[in-house]
Amino acid sequence: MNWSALMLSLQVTIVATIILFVVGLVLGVLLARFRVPGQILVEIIIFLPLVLPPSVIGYFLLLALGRGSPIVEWFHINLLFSWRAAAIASAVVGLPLMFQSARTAIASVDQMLENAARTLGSSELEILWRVTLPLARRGVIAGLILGGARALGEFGATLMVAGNIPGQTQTLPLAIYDAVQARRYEQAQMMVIVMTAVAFLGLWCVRQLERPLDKRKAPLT
Amino acid sequence: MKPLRLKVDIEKRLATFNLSVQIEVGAEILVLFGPSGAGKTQTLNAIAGLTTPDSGEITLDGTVFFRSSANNGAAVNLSARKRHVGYVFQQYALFPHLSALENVAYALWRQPHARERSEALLERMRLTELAHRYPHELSGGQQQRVAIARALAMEPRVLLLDEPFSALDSEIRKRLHDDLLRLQSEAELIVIYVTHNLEDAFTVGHRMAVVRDGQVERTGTPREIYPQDRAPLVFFSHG
Repeated sequence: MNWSALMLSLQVTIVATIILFVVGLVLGVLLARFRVPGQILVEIIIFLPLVLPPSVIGYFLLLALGRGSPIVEWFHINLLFSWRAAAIASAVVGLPLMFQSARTAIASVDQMLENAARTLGSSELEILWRVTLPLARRGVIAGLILGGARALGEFGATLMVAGNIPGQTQTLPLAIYDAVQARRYEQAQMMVIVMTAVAFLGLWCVRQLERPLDKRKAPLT
Repeated sequence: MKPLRLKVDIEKRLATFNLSVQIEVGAEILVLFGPSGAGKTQTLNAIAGLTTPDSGEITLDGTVFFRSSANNGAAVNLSARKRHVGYVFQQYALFPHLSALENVAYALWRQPHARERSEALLERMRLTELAHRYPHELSGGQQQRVAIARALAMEPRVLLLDEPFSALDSEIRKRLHDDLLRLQSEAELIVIYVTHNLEDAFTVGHRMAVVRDGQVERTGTPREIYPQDRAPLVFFSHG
C-alpha cells in the first residue's frame, strides 16, 4: 500500500470538497433562485468538465494557473505542480455533480415557505440558512458526496497541472497507474480495493439520502 | 393602543386583467370576497411586500409600505421583512423541518423569552399538547392554528389571511372563526380575510369588499351587500 499517496489523496479530496461546497452552493443558489445574465452560458461552462477529455481540462487549468495568468502575474501565487493544483483540478471535475444536485434541491424548496419567512422578518441570508438549506440539505449532501468521490478519482487533469511526483503530488489514481506500469500488481490491487470501497460507500450514502424520511412527510430534497 | 388605518390604493398589470384596488381598513375584519383568480391574493401579496405593484400607495398610518415614483414624494418599497405584517397562507406554509413550537418561535429567535412567548401563543390557540409535533403530524385545523400563532408571534398590527379555512370542515371552521374574532378584538388588529366562501364572509366579516376581475366592485357590511348582490355572491361561493 502506498501510504503517502493515500494521505495526499485524502488531503486533496478534503480541500477539493471544501471548494466544491462553497462554489457549488453559491452557484446552485444563484442559478436556482435568481435570473443570472447569460445563465445558459454559465451552466454550460460548469458542465463542460463532464464531457471534455481530462487533458483538455488540464490544458485550460494550465492556462489559468500557469505563467502569464492573473494568479501568477498579479498575486504572485504559483500553484502548478503542487498538491494545491491537484485540489483545484479535482474540484473542477467534481463541480458539475455538486452543482446539479444542489441546484435541483434548492429549486424544489417551496417558495411559499421562503415567502412565509420573509413576512416573519427574515433577511435573504437568514432564509437561506434557516429554511432553504435545511430543506435542501439531503440533495446538497448527496451532491457533495458525488463531487467528493469524483474528486478523489481525478487522474488526467491532475497529472497535467500537478505532475506525478511521489510524496508531493502523487495521488492514489496516479500511484495505481505507476504501480501497474512497474508491474507492482499487489500494491496496485490494494489501492484499487481502497478506491472501489470508498466509491461504493459514497454511492451507498447517496442512495440512502434519496430514500424518503418517515419522520417528515413533507418532501426533503 | 392607537387604532391604525391601512390604506391601499394600487394598480398592477397581470396576465389576465389589470388589478386596481382601493381599500381602507381600520381595526376590523375586512373580507375580500370574490371568485378564484379575481386578484384577492395578489392584493394581499402587495400589502405584505411579496409582490410589487406597478403604481399606487400602501400606508399604515404614518408608515409608507409602498409608494410608486408617480405618486407625490420619493418612491418607497419597504421589504416584506420590515413591514411586520402577519400573513397566514392558504396552504399553511408551515416549515416542515420545525416543530409547532419552533415554527411559532421562528420570528422570535433573537428576542428574549422566545420560548415562553411561543408557548403562551400556542396555549392561546389550544395547542400546548401539540407543541413538539411536526406539521405533518397535525390535522389541517391544527396546522392552521399553528400558522395563525406563528403570524401573531411578532405582534403585527395587520393580519392577512388567504383562504385560511377553505380546506377544513364546517365544525373546525366555526371554532377557528371564533378564535379569529376573539384575537382581532383582543389585539385590535387590522385583519384582511380573503375568501370565496359566502358563509365565511358573513361569519367573520365586519365589512366586505367584493372583488371581481381585479376591481373592487362594492364595499359595505355583509348585510348591506347581501340583499343586493345575493345572486352573484352565491355564484362566487360555489364557483
